Amino acid sequence: MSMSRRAFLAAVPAVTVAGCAGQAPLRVAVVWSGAELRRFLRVVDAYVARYRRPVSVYSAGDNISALLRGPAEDVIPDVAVIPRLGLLFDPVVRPRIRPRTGGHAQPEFWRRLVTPYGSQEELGAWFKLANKSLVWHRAGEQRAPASLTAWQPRPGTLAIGAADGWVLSDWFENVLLAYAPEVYDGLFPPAQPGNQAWWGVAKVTEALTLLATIWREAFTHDQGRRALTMQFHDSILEVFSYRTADVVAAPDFALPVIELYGGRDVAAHFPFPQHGNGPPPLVVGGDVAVAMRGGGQDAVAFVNWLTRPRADGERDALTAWVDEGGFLTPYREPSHPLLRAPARLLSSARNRHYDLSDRLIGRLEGGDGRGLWRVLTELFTDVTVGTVAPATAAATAREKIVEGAAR
Amino acid sequence: MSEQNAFLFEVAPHHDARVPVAGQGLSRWRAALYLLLAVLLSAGVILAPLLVTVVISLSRPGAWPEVLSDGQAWQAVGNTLIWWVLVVVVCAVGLGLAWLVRNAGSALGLVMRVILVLPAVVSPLTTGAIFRLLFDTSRERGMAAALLGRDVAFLGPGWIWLVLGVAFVWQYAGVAFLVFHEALARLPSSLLRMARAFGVGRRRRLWSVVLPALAGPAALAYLFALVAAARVFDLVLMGVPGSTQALVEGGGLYWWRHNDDLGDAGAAALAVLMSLLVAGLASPALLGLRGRVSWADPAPAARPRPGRSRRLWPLAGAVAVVWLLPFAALLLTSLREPAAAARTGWWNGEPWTLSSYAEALSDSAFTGALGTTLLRAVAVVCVVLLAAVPAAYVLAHEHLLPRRAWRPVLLVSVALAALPPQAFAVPLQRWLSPVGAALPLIIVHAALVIPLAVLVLHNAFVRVPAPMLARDRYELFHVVREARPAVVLAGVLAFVLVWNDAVVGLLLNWPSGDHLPLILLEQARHFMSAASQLAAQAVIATAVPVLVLALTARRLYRGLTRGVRR
Repeated sequence: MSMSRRAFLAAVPAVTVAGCAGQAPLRVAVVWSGAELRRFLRVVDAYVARYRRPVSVYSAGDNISALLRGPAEDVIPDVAVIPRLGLLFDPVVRPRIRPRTGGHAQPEFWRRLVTPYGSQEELGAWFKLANKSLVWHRAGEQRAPASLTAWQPRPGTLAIGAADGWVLSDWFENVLLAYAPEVYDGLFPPAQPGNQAWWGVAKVTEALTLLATIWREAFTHDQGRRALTMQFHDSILEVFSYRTADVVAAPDFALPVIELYGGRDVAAHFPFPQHGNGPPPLVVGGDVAVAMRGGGQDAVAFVNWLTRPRADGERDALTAWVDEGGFLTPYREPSHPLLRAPARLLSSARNRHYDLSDRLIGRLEGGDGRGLWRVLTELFTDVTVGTVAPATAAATAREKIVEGAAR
Repeated sequence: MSEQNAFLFEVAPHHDARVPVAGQGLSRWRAALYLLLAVLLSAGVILAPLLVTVVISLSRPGAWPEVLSDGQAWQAVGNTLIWWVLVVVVCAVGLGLAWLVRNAGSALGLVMRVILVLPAVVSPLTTGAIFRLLFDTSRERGMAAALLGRDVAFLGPGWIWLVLGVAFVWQYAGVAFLVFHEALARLPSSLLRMARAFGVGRRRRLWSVVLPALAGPAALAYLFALVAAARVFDLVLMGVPGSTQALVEGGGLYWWRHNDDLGDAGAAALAVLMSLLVAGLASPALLGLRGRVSWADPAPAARPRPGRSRRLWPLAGAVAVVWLLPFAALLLTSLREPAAAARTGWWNGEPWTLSSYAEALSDSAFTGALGTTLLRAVAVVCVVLLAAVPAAYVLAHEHLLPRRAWRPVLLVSVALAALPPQAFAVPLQRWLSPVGAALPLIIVHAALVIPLAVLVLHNAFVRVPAPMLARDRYELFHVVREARPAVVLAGVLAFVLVWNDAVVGLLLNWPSGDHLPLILLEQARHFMSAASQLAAQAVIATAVPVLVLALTARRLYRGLTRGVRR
């Protein structure tokens, strides 16, 4: 620190004055960190440059729900980009959201997801979509299994980032949707309120048993313990950098991570296996941008600007993000050949189902060490690290889920 | 000073040789005024919300039974007891290290003191990150696994306690060491010698001479580690993978995750339960603190035999290497190319680059938080000293309260210092919300440190000899000047606690996220692939308190061991 005392004393009021003179920045809360956050900041830079309005972006990580539910209304952000759809309908959060007005029309499937039942108000606009039903492997080394029941990865061939609860819940959703789509539909039907009683049906236990059996087959005792310490990125490294595993079930945004650590043109993917003669499951997710009441009309304008469709030939930070992979939108086809098909499914497939765990609120809501994430982590631990039979562990897990849904 | 012989002359009559008390000092009202700020802050920010929390917990009849029958809540509360075991381990390791080097030369003692205390100023968040790096599962990245030559899930169920225990000991054993080192140097050696001459057995000597002499310091070390353990939060949040967190989290973290599910009353009941538990665990410390921690001047210790001192050097060297290794791992990781740091451990070396630092310093959120946190910490130090110095002065010099009244004050101070913030966060949050969070946060932080600061300052102020002339109105300044080391200690304590805080920030100021550890916490989302960037941010964040420590080291040491200038 070679700053003289006088310079320092001069700097303090200067900073204070600068802070007061400009417009208050628009506070945007997101969940990303690292490369994704840097990408997002680049997108936002264009807004700052164009509208001369400062924007401060804060990454709340997986704890964004605590932020939006905070008791102090005036420290709630102006705009939030939320990966958990359920939060929009949370009794505390929903009154704090300013419904979207103006802007572009969203595709019907996606519009309905952000519209409360019996209402025409759209609470937010989709910024980023994700296809969560892909299984990645090194190019040319694997073939898609015939069906879910035929899929028996040998010990050591499957990588799972079980340290991240959402990885496990994505697994569960894919298996549940493949095995018992009617349960999935019953819990969250497209156009009316769902019925949590669906958690109690026997098919849930069967789906959990199927899931637990796959995990049991794929991991030895030691490998299971190791998987519990692996995060999403670690599991990708296992397949594409260390080559200690062969396949990893991961959403489309795994691609930039694969290319960073494994190199280009090394990866291929197949859809998550179907059950019997049914269609392969298609679990979709996404980040929805919402304006909070505190942000006023500016926040709505920002949301509309952020999520607007780009014209053909328009180039900006967002289209660059789409082109490099790891980002899908309803309005633009990615140029990466591996992502084109998964992206197309998001806008056209009939069997699209939105990520179940992202819609849960209350006791079952995810987060490290709580809700469905915790139940699935315990299931994973029981059948891989422990010696509990898959059927027993699945029954226990269902009991926990039913109990959580009831409270 | 002949306190080293205090035990010998216990039967001799005490002559109070102090300046006569009559007709001097502050008026009752002035004295009360001196206490006002500290009392107001502690009462307004801690006690009143705590009472409200108790009331909330009783507002719904079913709340207590619900919490008491919640298996997950009990698991978290039970984990708090495991953390308590680690507290005892920390004290034991500190005592063991102090015993090993008790006869070492002064140079060796200094080296050990500096190296062992250094981790205490590192934020628990950074400690969590360092040990997660060292104990990564993959032998490509984790040093411990690499030494074993195979992948080991140290961060998984079971083994995780080893990692957390090592991290906790690394961080806090130095403080315990410091306290015990000083205490061992001041054992009443003549008394021990005499007891031996009279044929008192070894065990008896230990029981009646050594233990009473160590009780005060032990209580201090225990209390310090206990406060750290009771508030353990960010160490787990950063250092433990999400899947394992539920297995090791204490009550505080569980409360933070589940206060929505538990409902207002349930969350309040859990917070009260935690407070009771901590109060119960803190009470043994009172036994030790009851007889004031007092240090006689060092006995003219026999010079250590040179042979023994030399024999200690390899041992001290090994301890130093072990204690400095985590710092080296963090620094080297921060200097590696990010993609390489995600794939392989720091001992693989190349490619070196400063890009992670460049990235951190070009990130406006990070640099902004750096500035805000610095301003906030300095402001808190000012408020703390402003409130705690007059309060400690009044309590120390019997202006208002007779000396025996110190004990209840001590009790309250210890209880307040150890209280988990969850116990008063909710009411406080509601009261603060109309005001906004930035300014009140300074006051909240200050209020949290004031009890500890009063404890430290009081300890020193009672030892300042009264000036020869009758007490005058400038006596406060005289006392502060004489007890400068303790004042510096209180200030540094406040600075480090605020600088490293993540809990209060998360509970009360979460959305604005302008506090440095919260920015670091963002990186936990993809821990290993952000290792290099996280390490760079952590190095910058750690450099500031280390610098403060280095600048004030001499005074701090005197402040901790004696408190007064001479």
